[in-house]
Amino acid sequence: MMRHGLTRRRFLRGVGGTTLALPFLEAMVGKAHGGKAPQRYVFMFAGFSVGSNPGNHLAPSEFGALDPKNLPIGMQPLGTHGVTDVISMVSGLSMPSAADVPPGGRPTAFHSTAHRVLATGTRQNGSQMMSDSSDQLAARYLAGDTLQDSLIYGAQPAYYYGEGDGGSNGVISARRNEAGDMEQLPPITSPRVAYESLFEGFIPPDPELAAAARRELAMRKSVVDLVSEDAESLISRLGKEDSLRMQRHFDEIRSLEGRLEELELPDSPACVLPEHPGDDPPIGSVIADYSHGSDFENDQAYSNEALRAQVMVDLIHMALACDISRVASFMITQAECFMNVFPPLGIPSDVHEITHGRVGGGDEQMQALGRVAGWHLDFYGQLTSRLRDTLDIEGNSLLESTALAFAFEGGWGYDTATGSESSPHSTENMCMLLGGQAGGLHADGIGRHIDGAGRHPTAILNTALQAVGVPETLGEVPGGIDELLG
Amino acid sequence: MALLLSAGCYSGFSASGADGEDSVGATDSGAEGGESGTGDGTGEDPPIPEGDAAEVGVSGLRRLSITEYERTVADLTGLMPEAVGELLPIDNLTPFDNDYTTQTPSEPLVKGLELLSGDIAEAVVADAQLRDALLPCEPTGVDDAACFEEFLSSFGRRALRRPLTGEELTRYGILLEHGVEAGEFDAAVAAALRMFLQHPELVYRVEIGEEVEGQPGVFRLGAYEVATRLSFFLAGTTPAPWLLDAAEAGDLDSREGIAAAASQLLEGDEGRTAIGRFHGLWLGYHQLAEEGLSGAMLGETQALIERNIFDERQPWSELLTATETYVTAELAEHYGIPEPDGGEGWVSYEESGRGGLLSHGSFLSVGVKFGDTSPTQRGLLVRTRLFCQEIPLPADDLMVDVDEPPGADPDACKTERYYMMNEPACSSCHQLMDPIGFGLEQYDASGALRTEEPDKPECEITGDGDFVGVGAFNGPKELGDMAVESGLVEACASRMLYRYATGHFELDEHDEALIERVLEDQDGTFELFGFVEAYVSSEAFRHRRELQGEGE
Repeated sequence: MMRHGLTRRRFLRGVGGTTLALPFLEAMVGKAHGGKAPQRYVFMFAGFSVGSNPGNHLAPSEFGALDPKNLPIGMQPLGTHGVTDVISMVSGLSMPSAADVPPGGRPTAFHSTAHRVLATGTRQNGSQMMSDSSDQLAARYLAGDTLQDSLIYGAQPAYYYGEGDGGSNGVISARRNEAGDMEQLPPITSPRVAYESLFEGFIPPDPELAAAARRELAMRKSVVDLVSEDAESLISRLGKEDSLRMQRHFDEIRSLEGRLEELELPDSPACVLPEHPGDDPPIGSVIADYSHGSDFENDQAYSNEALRAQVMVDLIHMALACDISRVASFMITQAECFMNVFPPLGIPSDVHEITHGRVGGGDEQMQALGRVAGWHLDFYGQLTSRLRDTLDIEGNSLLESTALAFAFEGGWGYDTATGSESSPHSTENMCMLLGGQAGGLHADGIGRHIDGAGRHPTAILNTALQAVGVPETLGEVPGGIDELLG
Repeated sequence: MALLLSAGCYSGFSASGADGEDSVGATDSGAEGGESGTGDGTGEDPPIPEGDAAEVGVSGLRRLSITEYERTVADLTGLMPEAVGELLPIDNLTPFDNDYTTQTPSEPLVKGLELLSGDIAEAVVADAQLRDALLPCEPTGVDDAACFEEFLSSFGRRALRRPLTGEELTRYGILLEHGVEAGEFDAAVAAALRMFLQHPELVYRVEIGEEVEGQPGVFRLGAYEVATRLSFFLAGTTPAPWLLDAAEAGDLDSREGIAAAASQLLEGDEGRTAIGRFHGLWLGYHQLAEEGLSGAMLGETQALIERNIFDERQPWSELLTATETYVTAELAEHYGIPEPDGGEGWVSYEESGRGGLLSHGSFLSVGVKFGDTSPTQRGLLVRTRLFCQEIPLPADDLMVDVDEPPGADPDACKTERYYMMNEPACSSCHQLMDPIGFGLEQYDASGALRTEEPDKPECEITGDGDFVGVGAFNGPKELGDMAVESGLVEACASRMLYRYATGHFELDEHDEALIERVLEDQDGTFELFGFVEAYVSSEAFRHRRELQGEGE
């Protein structure tokens, strides 16, 4: 998501189509920000329930410092990436639920409600988020003059179940616009769209290629300028409802116009033009397509989310390293995720069915649940690791100015809809993770497992926002988890 | 009018209220006043009668669905674009993919369009045949402004579905500079293609019109806007040149002219495709793969639609009672019915127990849950889609988890596991759904016949069903016959087609008035050509209503 009216000229030097370290600009470091390095915020999400219950294979059985050699299945990727010293887990969290929806709570129906409360901290009783999501609140304070206020990415492009589309299960970012209306902000799930949105202004260093690239950029900009003018002229000719819709379309065109300028990237070996991801993987079909058999051992309900997520992690990393953006929301999987996990994990099921015990039940099911959690956390650990290994011009790790939160859709416990005491349709015993070293996070170099019993999961996001200097809390959830700040 | 079977889920039926006016004012307009431009209503028409005005429904800015965009691009350029579904956000389904009330502009949409338009433009100019077909002239050089303007004018008229103004031609003419700079006229053509293919008036169906005197909030559409309504409704794509010519010539200024154009559209191949797609979305089978056995199922249903609706002009309800079906040998074997001669063709169902569209594997593939057919989901499908009834989700205090398979014992037979229809707290709604589904249980999710549950030979499937409020039945043939005899599916089918045509699922009193009146004019029978003619001939079709704030 980009702002209108860019204030910074854009440039990039490098070799087209190849990965190349680029020179760094002083403007990107502390001096340009009043001596304080820019702060960065990332929110990642997994669309299924996994609790802090020991049998869920996610949360360690003991509180205290994380032991990278003794982690449950779900957290093992964090050990693999060597980031257990800069990531903490808070478990035992709960979000209230009742028919008369309480502040910071959800109605008794679980799916399609909990993720929106998590993201905003505001009670949910409809199909839309009712206040700013954490990434959009962060962007308001952190974006500065970056080219993109925030990146809103996802890896799962389709719902995969039945004939439905999942409604707003695939949206986890929202903001209140200048007119005071809430805008739900769907993620980019196409790697190609995401890549080109970030680097469309790239001009390669080779003079001949650069001339061609500049010609193309100028052509595209003049085309979009015309489109933008026509969209704007339409607004005043339409009725009220239509004009609002066209205004939103126009706003996005204006953002695109702003990106179609020569891209300036910092003069830093850390700022690297990633390889173009190529064409997008095809979108998978719905599950239970009986014409192809009911098993999962094919590509149904899978759009190569593993590749999509990998590209998105690459792009978030590089957007932060190059200071193109300082805020990202990454919905790895949609709420109530029906993605087939056979291709990435060899488990013949989709994520949702695993949570409901239909891969054998008992510990076989729970181990599968832990592996699915681990598949998601692998991307989280990877991004954290790469940010730690990326230095700004002052030699500081990017992780020192970054907070990365990770949320699961639900926990495991009491289901207010059915009265079941042990259900994945629950927002009890929830787990959240907070990584990074901004604002005192993990100052002692120890990642911990912290007891969050009685606390709201969004409190972790409040702590993350506090760590990066955002002077507000989310929605209806006050305060954070002080233990995370050392 | 949708029937909401609310808290009590009462099973009785009531005829939809005929609260609309039943007269059609003779208000044929004169020639189109404006020469060009979006929303060129004449402004010279007399106010339409109150009765007609009451039928004018609210409409809004509709974005082309992914399928509509693909077909539009193919018609405009000759190139069937690739990756539209990958680069553009998926459409919301209500069940139709064109419901403007669910469409939200977004960064993924706008950026996806920019990428797509570039891909398409480059591919088109790289193909000499496609490129030549687009250019109405042969440029004399890279700076041939006259030829470029001729191209802009001809292609722009088709892309934006109206003639371009002189001011627009001048503005767009600057794109020629890119051809000059690149030393290739085609570079300018590509730039123009890029612009048109992401232009808001291509991406959205813009309707403005001119406000009708004495009818605040009611606007008379211009002829090009009427052409666009017709084309996307009945052909699923942008207006063909002949239709734009008809608009320009004033042929669409009369209701007779509109009806004639509608008939021409329906009789073309695009009409058959569009109406087939409408059925797929409506009945939920549109997501079936086009290859293999499921492709044969899609072909079976499309063949029936084309024969009954298009070739024989039968009432829609005849789809449910057809005694023959079009199958491949493989599909016939799968169904256990006689194989056709020559690999594929029409065969009689004979005494197989099958009959009509409800016997098709396409329809039976919908309503699957927990790895098998769901009597509840199938019953819900029949109630909501075929009868336009609404069945609410379980109330919170019922403590129901719709994600959990029913029944405590997964090894029990399905009749035991689906106990909800006999449970006092649940039965009021489940009695309306589950017995219908059980009546279809002898047909699995691929439409194959079965008499026992998968891997449970002890669980016999009788196929006995009950449509509470209508009667008992066994199998899809009897259900189809019964549905037709009830007289209720005609009204629902017409309501669904209207929803698809207007791009919004929720209907208000204006919409209901129009539907009721048209159905009455057709003696309650929904025959596609007759319904379409009556609908497109109404004042409602060539007007739009704009929300006027509170109270509307």
